[in-house]
Amino acid sequence: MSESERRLIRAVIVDDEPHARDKLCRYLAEDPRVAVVGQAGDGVSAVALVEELRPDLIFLDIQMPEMDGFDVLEALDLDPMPRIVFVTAHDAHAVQAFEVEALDYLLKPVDHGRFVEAVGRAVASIQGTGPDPHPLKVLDALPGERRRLERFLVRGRGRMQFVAVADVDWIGAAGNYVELHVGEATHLVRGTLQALEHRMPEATFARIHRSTIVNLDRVAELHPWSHGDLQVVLHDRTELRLSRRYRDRLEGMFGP
Amino acid sequence: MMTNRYTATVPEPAGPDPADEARLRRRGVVVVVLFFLLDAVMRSGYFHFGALTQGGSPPVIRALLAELTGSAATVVVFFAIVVPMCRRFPLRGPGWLGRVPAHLAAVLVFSVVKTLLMWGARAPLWPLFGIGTYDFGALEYRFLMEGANDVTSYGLLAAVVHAFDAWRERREREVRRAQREAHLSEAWLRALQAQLQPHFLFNTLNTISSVLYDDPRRADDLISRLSDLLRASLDAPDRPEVSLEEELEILRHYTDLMEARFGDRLSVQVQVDDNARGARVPIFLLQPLVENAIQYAVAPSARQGEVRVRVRRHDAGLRIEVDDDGPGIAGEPESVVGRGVGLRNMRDRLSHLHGPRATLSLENRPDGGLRVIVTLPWQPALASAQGGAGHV
Repeated sequence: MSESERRLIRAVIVDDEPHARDKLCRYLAEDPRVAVVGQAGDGVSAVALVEELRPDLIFLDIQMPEMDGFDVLEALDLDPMPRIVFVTAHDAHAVQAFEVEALDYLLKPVDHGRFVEAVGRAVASIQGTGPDPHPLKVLDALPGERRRLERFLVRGRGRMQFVAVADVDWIGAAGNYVELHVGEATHLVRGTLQALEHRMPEATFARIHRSTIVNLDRVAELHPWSHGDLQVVLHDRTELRLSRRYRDRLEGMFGP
Repeated sequence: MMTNRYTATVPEPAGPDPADEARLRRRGVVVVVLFFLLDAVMRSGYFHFGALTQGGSPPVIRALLAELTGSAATVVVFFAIVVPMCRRFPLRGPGWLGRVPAHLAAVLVFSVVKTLLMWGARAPLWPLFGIGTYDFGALEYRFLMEGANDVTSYGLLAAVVHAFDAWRERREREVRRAQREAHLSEAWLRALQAQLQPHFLFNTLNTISSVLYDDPRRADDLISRLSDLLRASLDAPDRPEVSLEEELEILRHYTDLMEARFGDRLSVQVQVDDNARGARVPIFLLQPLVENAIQYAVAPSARQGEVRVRVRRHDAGLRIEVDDDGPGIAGEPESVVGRGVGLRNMRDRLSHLHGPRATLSLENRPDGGLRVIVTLPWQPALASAQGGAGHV
């Protein structure tokens, strides 16, 4: 099979600094196998752009405003996922996670030789001739404190919005999704309570049930229930259940 | 929005450890008691053998009891009278002469109380040990006899207390100085690390390597800016303070580099009142404040951000305000000091340079955004520091 018979690889560059994007564009212009089809300067537009263009390859900067590279990765609702080459200036946790999951990454200032190597590997992976590690695995390899949540990206009808973690009243499990209860509204977000539990601010959010995490600032009353369970009543009169197995852990949080 | 305001409290070196102090006090008491016990035994030997040389044969127990009660009474008045008097009216430092009369009165009380204590102890002990009844003799002469001796005793004991206190003060000073030095070098070390944020360095180098292709002249400029900044940062430990002009120069190098990186997203305005020029300020005072504003107000948002720096004379000092148009701080503005290494370092450095005369405080601005306020005592720039401006 000759080069020309192969499909052109479509790439997107995501970085909040214009010069950093220019640099990668310039490097990619030298490679006839790859075409840059789009660029994004922040996480939110990156998610929209990638979902619209469905590129084969993303160069993804880690440190960006509002949503960092990992948040972008988590928010992408695509199957199959594009190949990702991560780019970071200095983030020991991230680099360690990339190493663990054998994902390709570039360090800033980006070295040309190293860049060519990374593109070569990505091309091989896309053409099915190289290893193909799953990019989402990097999220599990990151330590909890590196992935502390500050806001959720919520998809509404045709648009996306942020919900600050502190605005969430409680979170319920719903299969592969979780329900964020924010006042009157309920938002569905991909993820599990298990994964979420360790990324919420510990002082204000607590798991109270196999299928519930609650914002402790919203709790108004606690009533005894059966079998050592408790009923939790929120300020808006929502009633939740606090099961016995989470009770001990929780009591430590209320002081003596 | 409520305007919250917090002022930095400046942490003093902790000084000696209280447990250490208590141990020292206990040891002092033990030494004093042991000394007087030993003294009593020796003196009773002296008097007993003295009596034997004269051909007498008094029971050993009499001399021993007499000296032990004497020593015990001395220990009591030492701790009850001499020590508190010497602490309350120290016979050193300015005006010590004026405090002498208090000690003259104290000698009198010392002697009378000690004599009464000896009498009170010996009167019941003599019959108890079967050595007859204790004869105190003519009381008026007895007081005079003890009194003559006690003036010397009091003087010696007071000298011991003063010597001990002087020794302890020197030791405390030493401990404090060592603590302060340890603090200081630690603060400088952390300050240096904060200035050379690896993130900043690598991102800037990446920007330069990108600009290089389009605009070699501009890349050249940026390399100079970065070099100036690195040089100032490396010099910082040897030059804790610079003129305001030099500090503004450092800030300009930094903002040039950041504006190159962020493009239109960042704008930094600096306003300096004329009467504030000629001030001397800590080196790397402005840059970390602006860096903090960019990190928490401009960088996390995709829209354009503005940072405003204002330097002016205020009362007897210098007032620096750094405003951003970010989200401000929900809750206690002070909590941000714990979050960012930069502000905490800054507060440490200010306190080491100026103690409580320098403050760093934060407030949410009424129209949104955060304001960081630093106040410094006014110090004019040194001539030599001005001369150094050329090389920064």
